[in-house]
Amino acid sequence: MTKQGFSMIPNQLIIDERLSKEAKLLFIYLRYLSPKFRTLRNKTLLSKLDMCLSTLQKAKVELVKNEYLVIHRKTSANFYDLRLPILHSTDRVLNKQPIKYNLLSIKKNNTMYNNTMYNKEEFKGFKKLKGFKDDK
Amino acid sequence: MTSEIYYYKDKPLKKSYNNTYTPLEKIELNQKLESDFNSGMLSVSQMTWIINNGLYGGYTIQRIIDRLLFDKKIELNPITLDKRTYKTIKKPFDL
Repeated sequence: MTKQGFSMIPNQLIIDERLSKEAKLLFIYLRYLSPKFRTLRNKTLLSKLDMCLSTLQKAKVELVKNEYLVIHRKTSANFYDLRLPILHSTDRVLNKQPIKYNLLSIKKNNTMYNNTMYNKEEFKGFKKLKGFKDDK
Repeated sequence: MTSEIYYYKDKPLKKSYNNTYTPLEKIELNQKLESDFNSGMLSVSQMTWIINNGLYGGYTIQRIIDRLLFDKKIELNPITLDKRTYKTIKKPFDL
């Protein structure tokens, strides 16, 4: 285990309020490992992270639930695959983001165009021109 | 060299041609690639895997690599290991 180098942790994880500190610690430890060496036993994780089994399980569940982690079960150990959920962009694309203004509530009368003074005046029709006779 | 697989919706990426992604999924996938790169979750081996296998999202990654090369943040193209870029910078007389 080298003491040199660094690991890049996404800001999204640091800011995420849904995750506990144990879950974040687990993510950071897995991120520190090379993807080839992310096949780990629970025993290894427990010793490295210095936490009890139930806490580790809770951390794993939190990460899996929030789409930060995918666990591939193998015969003697699990393979941990890290992901990063897209929260903002997905919502924008699929239009799930809560809209500030309810577009359905905007009536035609409330639009800016119709609120101008010019448009409030009712249309009275054309003035009759002199010299033209009515067909009636 | 074993390349790392990039997953979208728990499945490896499909080919850039003849895939079954909907337009929304395509936009989402491109944004996911961009956001993963910006947050440091997209590794070089994943980039290489996507471009070498002609998978969807390769164009986005080419743009990312080009941007890094043009900004002089990297000197060599990590895919070709030389100074070639995928696109050229637009000059004033280019359309």
